[in-house]
Amino acid sequence: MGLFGYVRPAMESLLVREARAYRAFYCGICRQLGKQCGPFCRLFLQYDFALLAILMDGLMEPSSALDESRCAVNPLNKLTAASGPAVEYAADAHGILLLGKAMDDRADGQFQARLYTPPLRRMTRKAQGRQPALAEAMHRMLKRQREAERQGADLDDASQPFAEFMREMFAPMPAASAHAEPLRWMGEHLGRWIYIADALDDYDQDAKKQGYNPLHAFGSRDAAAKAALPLLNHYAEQALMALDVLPEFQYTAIAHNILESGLFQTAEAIAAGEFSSKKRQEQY
Amino acid sequence: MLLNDPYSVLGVSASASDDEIRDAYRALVKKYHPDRYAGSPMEAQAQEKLKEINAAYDQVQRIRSGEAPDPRYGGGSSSGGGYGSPFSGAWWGAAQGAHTDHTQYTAGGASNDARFNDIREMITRGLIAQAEAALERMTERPAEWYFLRGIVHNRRGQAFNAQQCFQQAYNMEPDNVEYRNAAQRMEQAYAQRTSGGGTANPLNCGSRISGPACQLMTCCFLSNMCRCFTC
Repeated sequence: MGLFGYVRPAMESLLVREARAYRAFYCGICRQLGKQCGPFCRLFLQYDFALLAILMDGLMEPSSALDESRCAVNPLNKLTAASGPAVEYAADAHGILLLGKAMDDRADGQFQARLYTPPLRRMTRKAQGRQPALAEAMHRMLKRQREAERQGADLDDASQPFAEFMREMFAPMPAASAHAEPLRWMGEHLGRWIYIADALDDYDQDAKKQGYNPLHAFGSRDAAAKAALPLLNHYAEQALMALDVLPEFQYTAIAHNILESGLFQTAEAIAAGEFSSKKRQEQY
Repeated sequence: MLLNDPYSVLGVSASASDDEIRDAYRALVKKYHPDRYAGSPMEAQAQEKLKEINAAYDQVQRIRSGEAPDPRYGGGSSSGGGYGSPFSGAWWGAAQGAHTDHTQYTAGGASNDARFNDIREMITRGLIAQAEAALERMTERPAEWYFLRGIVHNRRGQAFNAQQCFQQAYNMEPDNVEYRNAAQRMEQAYAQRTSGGGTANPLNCGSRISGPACQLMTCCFLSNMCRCFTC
């Protein structure tokens, strides 16, 4: 689904209790999305927002509560789900981006997008109301990204709108707060990472349907991968550096795993052509 | 600065061995090393962290040598002022002079051209938009222009353009070590990541400089100031 599904942990390196906590945030967002936005939205659930929830949990009061629940999709499964302001924020952000993706698909001419955009808009109205700045940033991002791609922008110009959106999404606190700057840096660089990883993943697809992809300028997928991997590593490094200056919080280790190991693993898999969409939906 | 729990600052238990504590300290210093953060907006916060880490290590050593009270046993706080860690000052001196592997590329060097000095000053103070505007206004574009333009690109998250600028600066002045390191840093950092040791620092001295870029005598020359433990 577009730009998401790439930011995930290296599960084999997480401690058992860390993996449980990660799943709890993931399930918590799913539950919250279903509650606030409707069960339809849950179908498009992505992993990436669990990282956002984990980070915000370290900075928002009160900390997320973990409680026993059942999976809405598979009611036979008992699970632990997180709840609290961090999960609510991540779910709102998720909803807003789902709407953004639908609007983008529709503008791209995707037929089915015309069907699900209006209901999504209705369903995310509350999320947009709670996060007006983020909703506005999303609309701005869509417009600028389309414009940049239409003009055949290079990697940096093409990834800029999304990076700017991510700066906002990662730092919802007042700008003067001590944590705002590192979080913005993290958002910016993670946004760059995601955009380029997605461009590499979509290289062949875009070539086939003659869609714009800033990596096509390198001439071949191999050349694009060779150029993109050090860039991706640089962006991941920067995001990690920002995490390192934030105060240590309960789930820092999970965030660290995602930014240090998860991103690297995913980038390598994409470059090798081994990151399939099936893997993207892998159940943890 | 007497810390409540220097052991937790270092991420070790109070019963950890001296070796474990030393290793933990080294890892933390490497993580918050000024070179890593130089020029980034998080520089000040990293410096604060490093101060805390140095203070914690210093305090643990003094606890273990009996000079300072062990906070576990509620030893009354002695006067906390002027802990004067022997490490913090030394690192700064060594780092800024020696290490050429600048993750963020400090614009700290001096230039013959006053306009470039002004721009370096703006970058150091975080006035990125101003620096960018000043650079774009210039019609003469020598190697140094490209180098500074690259730094500004990196501050804006534009690593692709930054790379091209650094490459251009290096092409124009191949003897300039600063430009060469800037042009090669990203590739080398990635190569280091994937080879997992093949291009590792030959001295294993805790610096982030990879094999090919290791200046050997440059940082070791200052090793009497550099507390990097093995060289």
